[in-house]
Amino acid sequence: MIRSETRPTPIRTAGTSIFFDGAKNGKLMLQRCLECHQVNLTGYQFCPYCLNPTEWIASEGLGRINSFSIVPETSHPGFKELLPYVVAEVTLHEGPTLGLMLVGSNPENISIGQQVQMSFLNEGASEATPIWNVI
Amino acid sequence: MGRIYGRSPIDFAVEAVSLALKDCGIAKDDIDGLLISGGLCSYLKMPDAVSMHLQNALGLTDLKLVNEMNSYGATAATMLQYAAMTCSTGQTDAVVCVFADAPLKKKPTDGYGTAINVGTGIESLNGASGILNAATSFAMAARKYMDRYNTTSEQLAHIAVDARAWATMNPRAQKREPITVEDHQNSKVIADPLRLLDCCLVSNGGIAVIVTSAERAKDLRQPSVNIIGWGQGHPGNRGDRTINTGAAMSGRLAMEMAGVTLGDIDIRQIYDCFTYTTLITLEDYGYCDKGEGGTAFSGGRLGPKGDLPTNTGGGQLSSYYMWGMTPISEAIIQARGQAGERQVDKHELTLVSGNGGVLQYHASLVLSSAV
Repeated sequence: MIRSETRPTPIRTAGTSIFFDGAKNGKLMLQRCLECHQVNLTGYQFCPYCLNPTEWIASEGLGRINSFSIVPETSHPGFKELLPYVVAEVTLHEGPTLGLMLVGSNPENISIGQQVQMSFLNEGASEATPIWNVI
Repeated sequence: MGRIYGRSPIDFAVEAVSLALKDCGIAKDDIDGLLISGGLCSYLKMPDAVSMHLQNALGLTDLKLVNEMNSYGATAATMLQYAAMTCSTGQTDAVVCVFADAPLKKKPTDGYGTAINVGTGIESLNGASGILNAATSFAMAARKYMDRYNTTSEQLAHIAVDARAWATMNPRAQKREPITVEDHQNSKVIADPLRLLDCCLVSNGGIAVIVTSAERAKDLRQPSVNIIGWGQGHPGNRGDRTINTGAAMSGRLAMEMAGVTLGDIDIRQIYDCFTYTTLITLEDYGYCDKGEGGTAFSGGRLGPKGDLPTNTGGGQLSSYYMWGMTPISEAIIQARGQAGERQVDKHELTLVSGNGGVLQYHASLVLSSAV
């Protein structure tokens, strides 16, 4: 359990090192199975579809919004200055689904099915934080 | 249960077990199984959470069954299933299933406040992204469904209104004032489209259920409630799990085992962490066609004057949030005929649900009153 007054920073693990290195360089890295070629983003060593080893590949970070929510209030001090903020669950073209903050849009103009692209916040924290932008 | 401070989850657990033993008349030394479930305190790995230490706090030695279990909100129903299995084979005589939690602290920053389990790696992106609690995730789940099937917030309001109507008759309920659809619509947005009155309570407390063989139960103090069917359905990360939930599988398996159909069920006790959860569970149990939940469960149908009495104690929305033990406890009280003012006349068969996580896990039970 982490008790924090500031916005939480992502936490790197051995298995996600390449992901977070990519994030620092503004690049989305995904995992593709060497056997079945399906793509995932788990940070686990083995493919969650066929259990074979995977490799890391670069991605354009494009996807579509499955759903989103507008959060008007929070008791967490790290997010107060971002209120109201939007979170969106997106399925990337390659397949993995990821929930991240969606930044830069008027909440009233966001809709399910919109195309988004991942970008990265590099605000001097130890790790970069991925976000969605509507394109 | 409720806004009770200064006691640890283990304290609540021990008291709940003590009360359960007195309730049925089984001696503590006759207990030979213990199944343990913790709530948020366990999830956040807080030092005073329930754990295997509970066996020692209860002074139980030489048990034939003891495990700490976790499928989140589905845990309670699965504990009753496993206890029933070991008691029916004679491997155990009497098993205590207990849940306890104390997420509410006197000072807001001590509990839910700024403490979040960020996980690591990819999971840590949730915390970093402001996805801090179940409400935000369930809000996205609800929006996806509502967008696809044109469900309205007013339709969700009816579910909240009906749960509260039952709670007004429940002395144990934390919320006893009736509410209207207008009250729901005026309640503040927590994470759009979910409002405060779409969300369950937070409670400190504990609930213990003792399971024994039907033979043994006949000689005990309370009318016995029989566990006649169980089933589990855990979608895991299946992409459409929030719209086609595990309730379809767990409910079907539980009812098949019990040899009953929906039409036989008298009362429904549904895990209602959010109004949306009630809607999608009943829909996936088969009470309406896919997408019809908004119209099917509004208009008072689930309330005291409705034809589908559901969450007859007020549910997690209005009575108390003891995770999966909330629907189970009310099911037992009603099945015994001990629900007083809110007693449902026909209470022979009850369908109980247990949702875990954000619809990744699901368990169902069918309970029957003693014949």
